[in-house]
Amino acid sequence: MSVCIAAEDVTVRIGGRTVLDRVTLELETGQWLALVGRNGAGKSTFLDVVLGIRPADGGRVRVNGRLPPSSDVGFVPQHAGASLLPWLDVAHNVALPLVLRGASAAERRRALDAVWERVPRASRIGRDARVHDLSGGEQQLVAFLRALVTTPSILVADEPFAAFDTDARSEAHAALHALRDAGALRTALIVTHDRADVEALADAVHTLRSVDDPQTRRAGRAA
Amino acid sequence: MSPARIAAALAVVAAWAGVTESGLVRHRAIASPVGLLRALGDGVTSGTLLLDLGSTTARLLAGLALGLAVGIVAGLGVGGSAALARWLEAPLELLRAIPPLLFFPLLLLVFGYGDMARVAAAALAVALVVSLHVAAGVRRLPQTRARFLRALNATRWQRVRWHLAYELAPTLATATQHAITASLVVTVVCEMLAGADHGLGARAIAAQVGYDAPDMWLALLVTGLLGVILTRGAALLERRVITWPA
Repeated sequence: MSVCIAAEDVTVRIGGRTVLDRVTLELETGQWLALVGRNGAGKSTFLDVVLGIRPADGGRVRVNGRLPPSSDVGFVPQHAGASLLPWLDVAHNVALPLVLRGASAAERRRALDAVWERVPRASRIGRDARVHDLSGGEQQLVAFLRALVTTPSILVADEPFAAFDTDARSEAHAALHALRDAGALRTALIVTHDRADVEALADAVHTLRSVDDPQTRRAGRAA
Repeated sequence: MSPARIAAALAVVAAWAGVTESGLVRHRAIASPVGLLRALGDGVTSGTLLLDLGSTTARLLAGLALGLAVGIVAGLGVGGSAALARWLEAPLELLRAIPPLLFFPLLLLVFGYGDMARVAAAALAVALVVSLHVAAGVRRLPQTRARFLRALNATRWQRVRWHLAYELAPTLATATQHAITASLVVTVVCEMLAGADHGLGARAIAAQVGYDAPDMWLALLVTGLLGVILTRGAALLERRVITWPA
């Protein structure tokens, strides 16, 4: 099985503090990997490196064999509702990644039709609805649609269900499973704090430990 | 306007007319409504009122446009760069503490006794107001959306086009309304100070020199109405354009 995301000895320092210290991780094609860890362990920072938002101070990351940023990645950020652009309606928010890539109006229309067809529950949301009129769960779904509209080979999600209650979380898990079963979502890297997300979605788990974590310090001494 | 408010306004005008026309109150600085209407008629038929109004409006809008351009660029720079903010913090604080009108004599020396000095003074006042608002707006930008656009590998221009322009629009709308008032005040006072041929400020000074209270009141009223129309127009535009919760 080929490797989609390969991170090797990734180190990031922010303001003189080491946030990521030689993190090594591999995500294989078809795998759903949960990235877990305490607050401050550097999970979001690691995603920033994978997404190409932040360069690593040491080590290297390859996404499908290339340096990030990669157009093969769809991203659902933490606080997905807050990441939507309230001055655009649902369709324009979902189509934004295509707009930024210079897709024509016809291409955008085709991609929107396709993603609305692929994703269960998407039909509940009107394309011309204003995002601030949607519920938290619906905004989350719009963020997923936006991540999937480019038909990426990898989904990266940063605590996508953090604001969900138990029922909404179960429903979201079912929706993601449906996407995976339909072949619309092959590979995923999901940052989460929640054991339920791990149990419901992940094939594998990678625990990221803070540099200050006692276990990390013990491991460092043992090495 | 409700009937009660119209009735109240009419009652005030009637009382004003009563005390001035009856001779109950006489002072060279007080005009009667009838005198004011006569001054309005004279101003309109002679064309001088329209000329003064047009001159003031043109200077005000030129100062506003120039000041907005400078203020936005300065605000983006100071708000977006911590290093630039550190360098410019003290000079800008000093600049803001100086009343913009105090720069007018200096601007007269630079640009001479023409409209350019008046427009520059208004632009300076506008730029100081706008830069402060824009810099604060840039510092308050929500990071979630900015981070997401970086994740999409958006170019700098795309980030401005799809994010920054909208994110700063409410701040800019508020700043513009304040800037209109600043531009109007500075423009009118500059017209009063350095012998402008036309303009509402020049009209008020000419009326004062000629003890023409009705024309002075007319200049006051028209200046006030101009300010109200422009700020209300800006507020209306803000409501039309900014349709999302800011």
